[in-house]
Amino acid sequence: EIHIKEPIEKEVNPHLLPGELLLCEASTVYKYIQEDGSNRGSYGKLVCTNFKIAFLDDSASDDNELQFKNKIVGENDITLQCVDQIYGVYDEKKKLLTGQLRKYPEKLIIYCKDLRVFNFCLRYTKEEEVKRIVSGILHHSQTPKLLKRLFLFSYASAAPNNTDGRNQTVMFDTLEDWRDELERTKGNVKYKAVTTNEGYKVSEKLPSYFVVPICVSEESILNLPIYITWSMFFVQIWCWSCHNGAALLKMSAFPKEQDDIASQTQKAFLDGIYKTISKPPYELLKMDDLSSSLPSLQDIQTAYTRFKQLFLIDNSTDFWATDVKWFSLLESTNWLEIIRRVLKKAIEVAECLERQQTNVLLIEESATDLCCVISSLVQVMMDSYSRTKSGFQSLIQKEWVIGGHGFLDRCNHLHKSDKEEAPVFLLLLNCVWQLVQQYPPAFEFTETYLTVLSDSLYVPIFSTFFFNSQHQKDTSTSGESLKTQSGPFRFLTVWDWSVQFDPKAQAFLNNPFYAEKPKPDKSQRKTARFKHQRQLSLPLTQAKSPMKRGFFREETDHLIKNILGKRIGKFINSSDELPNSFREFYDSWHSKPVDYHGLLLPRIDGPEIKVWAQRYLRWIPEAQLHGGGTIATAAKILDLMEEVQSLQEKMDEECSQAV
Amino acid sequence: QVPFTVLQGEGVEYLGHANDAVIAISNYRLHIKFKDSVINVPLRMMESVECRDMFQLHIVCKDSKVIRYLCHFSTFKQCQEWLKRLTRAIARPAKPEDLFAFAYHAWCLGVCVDEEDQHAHLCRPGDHVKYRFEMELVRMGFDLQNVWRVSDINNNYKLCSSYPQKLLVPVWITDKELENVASFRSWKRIPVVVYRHVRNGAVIARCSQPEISWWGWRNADDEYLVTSIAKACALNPGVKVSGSVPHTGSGDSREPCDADFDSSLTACSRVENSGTPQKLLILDARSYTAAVANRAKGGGCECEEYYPNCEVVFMGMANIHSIRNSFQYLRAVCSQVPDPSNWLSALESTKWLQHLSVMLKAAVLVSSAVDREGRPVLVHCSDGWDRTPQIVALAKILLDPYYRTMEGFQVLVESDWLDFGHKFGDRCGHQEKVEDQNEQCPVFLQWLDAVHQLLKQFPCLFEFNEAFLVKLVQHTYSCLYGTFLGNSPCEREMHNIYKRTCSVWSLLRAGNKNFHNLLYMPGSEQVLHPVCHVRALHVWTAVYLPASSPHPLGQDDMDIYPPPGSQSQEFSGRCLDRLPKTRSMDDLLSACDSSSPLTRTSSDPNLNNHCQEVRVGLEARHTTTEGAELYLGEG
Repeated sequence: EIHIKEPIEKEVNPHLLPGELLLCEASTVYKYIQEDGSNRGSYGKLVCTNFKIAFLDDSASDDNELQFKNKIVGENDITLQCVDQIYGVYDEKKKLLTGQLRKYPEKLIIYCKDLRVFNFCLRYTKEEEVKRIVSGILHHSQTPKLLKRLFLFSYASAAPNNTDGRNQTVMFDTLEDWRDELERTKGNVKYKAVTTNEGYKVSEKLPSYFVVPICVSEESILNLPIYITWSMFFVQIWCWSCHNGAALLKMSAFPKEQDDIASQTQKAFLDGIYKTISKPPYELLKMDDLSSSLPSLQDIQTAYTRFKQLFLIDNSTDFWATDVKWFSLLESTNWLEIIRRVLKKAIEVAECLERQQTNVLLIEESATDLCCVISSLVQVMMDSYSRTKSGFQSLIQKEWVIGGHGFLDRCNHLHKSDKEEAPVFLLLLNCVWQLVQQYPPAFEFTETYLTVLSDSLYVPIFSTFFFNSQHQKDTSTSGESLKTQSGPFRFLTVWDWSVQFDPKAQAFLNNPFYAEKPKPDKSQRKTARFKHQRQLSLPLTQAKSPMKRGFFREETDHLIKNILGKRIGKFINSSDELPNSFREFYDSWHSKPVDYHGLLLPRIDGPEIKVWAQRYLRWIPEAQLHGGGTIATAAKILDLMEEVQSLQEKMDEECSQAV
Repeated sequence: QVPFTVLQGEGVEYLGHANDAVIAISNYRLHIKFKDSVINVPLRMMESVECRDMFQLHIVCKDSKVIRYLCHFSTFKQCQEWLKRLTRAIARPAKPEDLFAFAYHAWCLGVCVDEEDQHAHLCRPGDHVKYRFEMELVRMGFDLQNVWRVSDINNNYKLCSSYPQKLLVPVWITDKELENVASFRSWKRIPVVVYRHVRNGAVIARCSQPEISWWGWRNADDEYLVTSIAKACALNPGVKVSGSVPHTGSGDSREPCDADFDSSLTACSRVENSGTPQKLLILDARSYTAAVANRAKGGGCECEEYYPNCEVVFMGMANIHSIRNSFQYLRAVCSQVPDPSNWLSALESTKWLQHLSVMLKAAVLVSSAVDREGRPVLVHCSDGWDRTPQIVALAKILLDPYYRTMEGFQVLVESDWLDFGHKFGDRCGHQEKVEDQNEQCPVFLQWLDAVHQLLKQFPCLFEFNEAFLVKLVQHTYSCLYGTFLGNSPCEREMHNIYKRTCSVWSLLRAGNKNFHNLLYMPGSEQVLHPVCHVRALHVWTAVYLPASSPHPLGQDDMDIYPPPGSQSQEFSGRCLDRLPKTRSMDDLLSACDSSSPLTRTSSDPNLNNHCQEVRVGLEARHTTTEGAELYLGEG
């Protein structure tokens, strides 16, 4: 109903999703295949919808079947959220385009967040079409937007999601999910899931259900004044428990300026908790203020901006010119160094949990950015369940989606404020990629999985990455439902990979070399997960712990004093004794054979931290390998696996016949 | 008492104790055994030894490892004594026979009753290597009736001592003319043909620089020979000249990434005209300035006016001195490695990857000239024995899938490197008596690194795996095998090295499953189009940074990887040190396992020697196959 079929035979029509509306279009646009001066390319129609910008190639033939194809976002489709920057070319000069234009460019360069670069020539297009398409694209992709205007909502109302969507991923939106997780990690001895925040009575930031130390009573939380609870993680939220009982917790830092009554109340509250925990047997708690021990979000954003610039290459002259000083350029972006520091921090935390058997409390202003990165990384390193596909997805749900990472702001999906933008989730994926490429057999998923996951950040048909918090999702879902009267929206989750990929392409997401843990019995899924015994062979310096036990009281006092006094920064820093014990831990682990189901520590020496070539170099024509590279290899491996499987079947058959 | 099992012919010369270790020097290796780790380096692998900070032995290896050993000797004097012994042990041999390869071979023979048979097994790398020249002529389809001929002018190396005895030239070029040409080319290394592209008949030829000198000499016979090569190609065109179907890249339609535009490019740019000869490409590996500078020393480069229908292109590859420097920087940077602060810029400053990038570009240029344009190419540098074999051999790997098999790769190394006189003795520093460090340069290692880059880019198109290349690096220097001894085929024949030492191909033979790439797709005819920019190149961690090298897929994993359903084993696996199991002292297998210099570093326990196979034969083979199956069965 949206577009009328043109009588012209050659007309190519955009493939529209349910709820997708064609907003403007321009024909005889010339798209360069490669900006190398050769002017090779093809003519077609450039369209802009409420979901994407798409180029429809006049000469496109359907037989050009890609092995790995996205069903939602085609080769020449750019979702509006994926547009990074748009440049116009006027008389050979490049100018950044924003907002209103007085003059329309003859060439349009679109840089995408997934690092594609599109070059469109508008010289042969009718003037009014140029005006319409350029201002349309600019308006829809670069100007601030209301949340309700996200394609997510039109899609969800046009195509109600009837799939269960659960698949294997734990969504952590029910009490049971948290209880199961506690049980799985044996954290239920010391921690419990609470329902205090049902209906967001206590805080909008906190999820409906969360886990706290067992000693925290629900009343005590409810009794806290609203100005403490409303906007932050005021209490230690449990993330994960190690097999030895040590737990990983997170909490917001205290705002600098807080009046006395507030701090007194909170002091009293925390004091109460510590008193209960600190009854014998004492528990050690190490605090780590991430905002002082890791680069700031600003640094991360700056580094990434510089880093990605290295891959948004206009032409092959640039490519070769930068190639000569590639490594120093790379170093000057500082991005790899940030990855190294984050990995190092995660190892430090793992060391505390694993060897010192100490609880670790991560502190950050909001507890929803670097806390998420570190806690996820620690779990990927320490919990082999997080290295399975469903385990990893559940982890992202737990720490990021339910954990309240502000995807909307951090990805700047609505173009509200550039200041809030920071590639925090990408940082996690980059760090996990380092682990994946260092220990491929330890992961059920491949780097391709991580790459498509990173691309999915910009596909607004999934709710997963398009809200700042669970509260925001719930309120916008129910608010709308009153009008449409079709009940609450049922959004798709990104974890349903069949939405984007057919089974053949999905095969590339699974690692055929995954060292699957031998399961004694398939029915006992839970018991199969006890990886803990194996880790005991790690060097545990148990001699150290008793000595330190007495310190706890003192440390707690100290801690509260400091928390409420200045910022926690200096005190918490582990700097005195960590470097040595860290190095020792790191070296001793690396001198042993790897147990793919046990603790996994990334190597962080200079040469080991690499560029995620698949994500960053995949679109650069000069970097493309014909007949080689990872996809060809993966295809070959899949062939081999198939062959092995069919041989296995044949053998089984023969065996049964023989019997 | 001796902490390792000695090889045949190996004798321990010094044995001592430091506080925490047993230290031994034999005529083959230095071995230091600690409580839970081992340092094990062939003597010839060491470039220099010194004593730092009183008690630290600082050993620099030719394959870029740097070993720092803090010996806890009781006295400084004791440490000095060991240093002296070691320095003596690694000094250049007085005569070739002092190299361990000779002793090893002699003793291997000695223990075997059936001497003749044993010798055959140890020495002979196989018929494909022995008869490589004849077999290659047939395989590449040279028309030896009308177009090409094999000249015997170099019989007994009487024309050129660094060339093979049989030379391939156009049929109408007489030996007299060849002699004339020889007088005009450095070291008499005349242009001869080494490869022919079966599909279009274009050939690759190689030589040294012309001796133009300041006077600008010309040589009519040289000009005639060079242009004749192009003419001969036109007279002996490829078998599938029709050219309607593009062959390039689309040889195997199952290639997923094989873009169509590649082959379409080929189809339009290729001129399939068998009548007129294609313009010959003279690829000078040097920069133009370096080539001109060489005129001062009597060399130079071809002048396009004198060579009709030729085009000269300069590649700007650095000479051995720059490469040696680059390598030394790389070694220094790699030895600092746990300190990560400026790894990337330090790596850049070594220029190692930049040099590799240029080498790859040169090879790609040759292969696309031959394959896409059907043009014959003549490659040379100054002497034609360093950069020339690098380019030619690499281009042959790109063009011809045969050289990506184990057998083909052996043939390639034997013919392009060994037959054409790459000076292994000088470059690797095991030539007798010569002490000139200026002649040393890891040219072959650099080339192997380039092959490794190709292997990384096309993991399914090589029959051998990375361990194969790593082993080759080690044995280029170890002098356990005779393959890389001496400077030229003439010299090797003079010392009868073929008869008196073992061949490295007996270890790296096609039958050795440890070196098989499990992902290999045989039958792919694809011409490789690698990417050669620095971004895409990797530091060869398995060689330069073995301590931290991740285990490449498909090789080591099968060893450390516990079989499914054996949890108890998994547990004990943790307790095991990283020592591969082949290293246990009472294991017969380790008798021949000599090659890994450092235990922690020897990430490939894939060692398997011929001796072992002679004795335990099937058993060893059985284990490896099992490993392979297990590995595949996992997912």
